[in-house]
Amino acid sequence: MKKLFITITIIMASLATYAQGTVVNKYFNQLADNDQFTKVSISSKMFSLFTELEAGSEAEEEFLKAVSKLKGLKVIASDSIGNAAKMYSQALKDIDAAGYDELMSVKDAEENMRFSIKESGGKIEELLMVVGGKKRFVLLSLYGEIDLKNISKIARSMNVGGLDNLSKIDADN
Amino acid sequence: MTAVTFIRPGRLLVEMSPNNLFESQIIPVADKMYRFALSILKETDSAHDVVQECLAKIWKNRNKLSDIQSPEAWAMRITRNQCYDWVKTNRFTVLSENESNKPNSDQTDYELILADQTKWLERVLTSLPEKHREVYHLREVEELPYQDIADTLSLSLSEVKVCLHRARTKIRASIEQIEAYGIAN
Amino acid sequence: MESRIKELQEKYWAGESSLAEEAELKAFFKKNPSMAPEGRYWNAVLKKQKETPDTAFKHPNTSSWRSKWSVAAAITVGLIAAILVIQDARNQSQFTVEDPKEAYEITRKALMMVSSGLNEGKTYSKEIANINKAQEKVTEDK
Repeated sequence: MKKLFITITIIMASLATYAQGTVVNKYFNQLADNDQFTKVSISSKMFSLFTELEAGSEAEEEFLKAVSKLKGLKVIASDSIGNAAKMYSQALKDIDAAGYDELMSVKDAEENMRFSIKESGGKIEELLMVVGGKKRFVLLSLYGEIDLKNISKIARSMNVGGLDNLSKIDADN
Repeated sequence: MTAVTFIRPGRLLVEMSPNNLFESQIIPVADKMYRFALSILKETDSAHDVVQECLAKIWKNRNKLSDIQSPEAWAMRITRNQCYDWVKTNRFTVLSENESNKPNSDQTDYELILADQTKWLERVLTSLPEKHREVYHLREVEELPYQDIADTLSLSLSEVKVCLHRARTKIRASIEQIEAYGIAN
Repeated sequence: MESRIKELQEKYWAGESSLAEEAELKAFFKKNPSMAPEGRYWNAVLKKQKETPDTAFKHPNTSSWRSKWSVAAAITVGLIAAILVIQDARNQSQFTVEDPKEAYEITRKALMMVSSGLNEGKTYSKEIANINKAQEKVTEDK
């Protein structure tokens, strides 16, 4: 009887973690047949193909560096849904329930945005970005080995003019 | 599964499959195995666990059953070995548990036999050497023939008889003592 | 009858009785329970013979999966897990981008979005820090 309980517990636990680690998968399943949402999934196999493309600018180099460590990217997005705000708050609830840690939230008049991470052994395994506007909802998941510094450099190097002062901020941190 | 073999004309021997042998020879002995384990371990839960393990072991080796003369003695022998293995690995727990199970030693045999005859017998048996106790149990409680007891405990027939006789003598001495005490009172 | 039992008892204590004779003795004491010490002894032996485990032994054939119910339960759980995994994989693969160029563009845009989002957060926190500093300064000046 003991063995049985152990087996069932293991199965249940693995089911639970399976459900936990993948808030995005849950949304993929829920919204699988909903054409209002764009759903994209890119696998690590694709990422490995990118590196064969020639890296030209500095920006692209940063980008490829960040990508090389990723295992996958998933995006669910819509620009034209009525209940975007409601979806946003529901997504935050789901993310919290799944055991993610909040990295930061940004709020402005138009949009809310939140970054959450899942860590394991001091390393970030998954980065979740949720955006909720009036009609816009985005749920984006990056998983694999995630280097936040590396990723935040991409925008800076690609947009040198507009975000110039940001580099300075990073420097004094 | 059942094969029929003719040994000599007119006589039919039905050779049972290992599964059938297990059902017919071992399953009915399980309670005996339990009592034997209990007589060694003195603890119902451990005895149950040990016998359950023995059954699993015998089940695994059920193919050998057809070659074994006395499956009952074989099962008892396995039980005994398993018990001593158990004692080896749980030496300390056995000691402490036996301590608490010991009948109150302040009571005289006379008082004890009146209060609880099973406990009295247990106390007399505890004072016997292990071998004597095992022979006594297999004979008196499980009613095994001398040969099967000898097979189970790896003793000779005469050794078995001697052990049993000594055990009975000891019990009788206790009974006589009690009788004398009863009369004196 | 009495003399027969006496004879059997004597044989028994001398260690000369056969199994059949011992059975006869037990049967006698079972029928005629006695409160005398020897009667109590036989009583104890008879009681010992009746000892059985509280719970029956499980057949070793089914020992690892004890009952049909537990097997059914385990299969159900396993099936649910399998269905979930398969459904999940199907849903995921449905949206997997197969064209490397398209994938490249999407990844670039996505990472840009994440990256600028992270940076936006940094400007915010920086501003908040500045506000705090300014406030501190104000209070210090007072």
